[in-house]
Amino acid sequence: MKFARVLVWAAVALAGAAGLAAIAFERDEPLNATWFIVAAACTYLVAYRFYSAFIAAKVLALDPTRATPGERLDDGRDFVPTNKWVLLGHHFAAIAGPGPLVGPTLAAQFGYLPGTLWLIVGAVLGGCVQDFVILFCSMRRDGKSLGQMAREEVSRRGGFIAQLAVLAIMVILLAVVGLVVVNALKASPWGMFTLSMTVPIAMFMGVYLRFWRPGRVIEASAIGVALILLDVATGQWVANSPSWAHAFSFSAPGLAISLIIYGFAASALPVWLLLAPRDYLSAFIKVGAVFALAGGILLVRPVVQMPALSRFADGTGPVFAGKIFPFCFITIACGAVSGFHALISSGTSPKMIMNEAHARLVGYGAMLMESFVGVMAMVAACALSPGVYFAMNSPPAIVGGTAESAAQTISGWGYALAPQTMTDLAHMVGEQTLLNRTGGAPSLAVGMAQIFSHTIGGPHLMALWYHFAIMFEALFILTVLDAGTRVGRFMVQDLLGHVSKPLGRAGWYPGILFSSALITGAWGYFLYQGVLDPLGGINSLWPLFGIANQLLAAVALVVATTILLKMGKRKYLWVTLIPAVALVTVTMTASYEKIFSPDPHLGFLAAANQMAAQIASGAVPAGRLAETARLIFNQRLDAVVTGTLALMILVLVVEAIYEWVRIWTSSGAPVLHEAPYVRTQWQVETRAVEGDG
Amino acid sequence: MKSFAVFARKATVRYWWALRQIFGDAAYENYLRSLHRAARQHGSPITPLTPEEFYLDSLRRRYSQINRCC
Repeated sequence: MKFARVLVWAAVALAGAAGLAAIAFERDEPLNATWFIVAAACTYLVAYRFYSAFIAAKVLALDPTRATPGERLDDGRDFVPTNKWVLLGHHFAAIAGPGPLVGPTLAAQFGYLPGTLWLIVGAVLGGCVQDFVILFCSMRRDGKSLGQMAREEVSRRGGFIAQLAVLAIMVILLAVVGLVVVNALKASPWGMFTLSMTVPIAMFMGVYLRFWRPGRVIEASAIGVALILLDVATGQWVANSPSWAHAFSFSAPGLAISLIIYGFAASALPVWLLLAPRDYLSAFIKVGAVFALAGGILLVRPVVQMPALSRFADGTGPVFAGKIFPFCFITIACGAVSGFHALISSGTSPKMIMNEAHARLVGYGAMLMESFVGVMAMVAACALSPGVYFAMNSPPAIVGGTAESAAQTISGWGYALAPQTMTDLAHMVGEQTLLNRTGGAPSLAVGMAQIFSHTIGGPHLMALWYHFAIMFEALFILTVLDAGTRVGRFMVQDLLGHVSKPLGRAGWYPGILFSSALITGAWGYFLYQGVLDPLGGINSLWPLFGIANQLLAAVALVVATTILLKMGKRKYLWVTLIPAVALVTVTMTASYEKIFSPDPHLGFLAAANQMAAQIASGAVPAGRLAETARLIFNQRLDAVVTGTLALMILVLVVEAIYEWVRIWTSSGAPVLHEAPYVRTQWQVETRAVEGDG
Repeated sequence: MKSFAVFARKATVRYWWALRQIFGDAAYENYLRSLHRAARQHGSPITPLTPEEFYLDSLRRRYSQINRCC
């Protein structure tokens, strides 16, 4: 039996190695997407079976006899011991946002190889480790947050820095996801109508759940999903009606302002009315679409058209500027390593674990699933012809605003593209144009629509599938937007409470309005600046978001390393230390290049100086002076924000190193802030809790 | 045939149970069970929230902290 198991695992490992070898070395003929699935799935299986088991047994020494906070503090509200598969579903739904879809799509500009390898290797050695270890640490501390753990285990200043980093990343995250929605829906009456209708549908669900059938989420969501599908189909009629199409055609700035107003309203309105029902809808559709994409890829097995390495590996890419190192590693955050996950792993999940041993499946396993979503997004993006991909993801400042100019520029790069191709494709998906739709969402939607339409309906349903995919992406981006704005509002209120007591009170309405306006204004400013950016905004905002997110991951891994050191696990420090060092190196290099690179496409200060020089030389017309001055200010502001984020992590790293040296050289046992050991009582009650009884 | 029907019924029940747990339909029942368990252990009387109160309370708790990633 043991021999058979060895043989099976050897076969899985060999299949994974063959898949990775095919992705890395196959150049002679087009690569089938099946290789990506085989490489990813087998690597994940081996990593879960062996590496996560090693971490669970040797590094963390998970103790199934130790009562979890879910058991000890069970109140049926925050602390709820939950079946491990159900909790895996909860945790996966919480960590999987738009990031693992958009990041890989953008990173496809380097070709499929760098992004795919980073998704697989980064997740196995970095992201999953971070999620698992932080979940464990929080679980051993009664569900404390990352900021609280940093304050207790590293230093008070470290905790404050972690809290500030969370607020900063929140502001940039909300701006960048807002920009993705703006670029997907500008001048798209079908998409705009579909998304607008989700607001009354969500409100109807909210009233249903609040007054008619409290807590019947499946029932309300099923009604909501049916209405949404009807809504997507109706959108075609709207797009074909001149008067309705006009009413739902928004410019990018108009759409940005609408989103800002929406974010403010969603943050200030009662949560049951809009935010919660939209979240339920989004979760239903997200899970459905992800499984449909996986099934579609397995059935269609598309051929990847993007080269393994594109010419833009040299850093001159039109989607965003910068070389593979470090920019591939910050562009793909969610899907490989994402600091934001540490907030979920130290949020609700540790309070719901029924048995310590389940932390492995929930922490490590859920991140593997998210990485798989990222690989699927990479496949969908790379299944597009490179010409189409670059025409959709390049800003007008680089490829021009017409099909002819885009085709000429992109063909000049060596990626064949006929002007008619873009016109036909736009017609096929029911859009006026697909040019310059930066942000990744529309090109991913075209990739998904191609895969779905090959499975069901053929080319006739391309338009419907495209708008379904756009609705799916926009819906759960908006969920992130409104949930994030609300949490950001609480953080701002918390900070304002130190200045004025009433402003800090959660129930005082003027305080709610003021703090909502502050947080919405903060991300709204960055969103609007992205919309006005001649390079499309993604070029500056996505790297800023990536840097912030990976800095948070570095914070989490540094905190985890400190805790391991205090636990006496010196031999195994490399488990968290290696990814921490890698992330600090990546983010510091990226921050330096984004601030100081002499290339105006890459460096914020160089771009500002170039525009300032243009004003000084009289090259800017008088009518555009104010706009150019604003762009200069924005570039300098981005440089300051990047520098501040980098400085914060440096301070935390120095604090942590000081603490490590102190522990290493001290003869006494370091103070570990774990909850005391209590033996579990669950053996007798587990079946009842799992619902078998 | 009969065994397949039994298997299908069990699978459907299990699937429905998991769906209700994941999407939160079973939250109120779980809450009541927790409350009764605590009452059994500590011998204290229980005054549970109504389904509507519980639903609003759980929303307030969930959306006061980061519960969705990027």
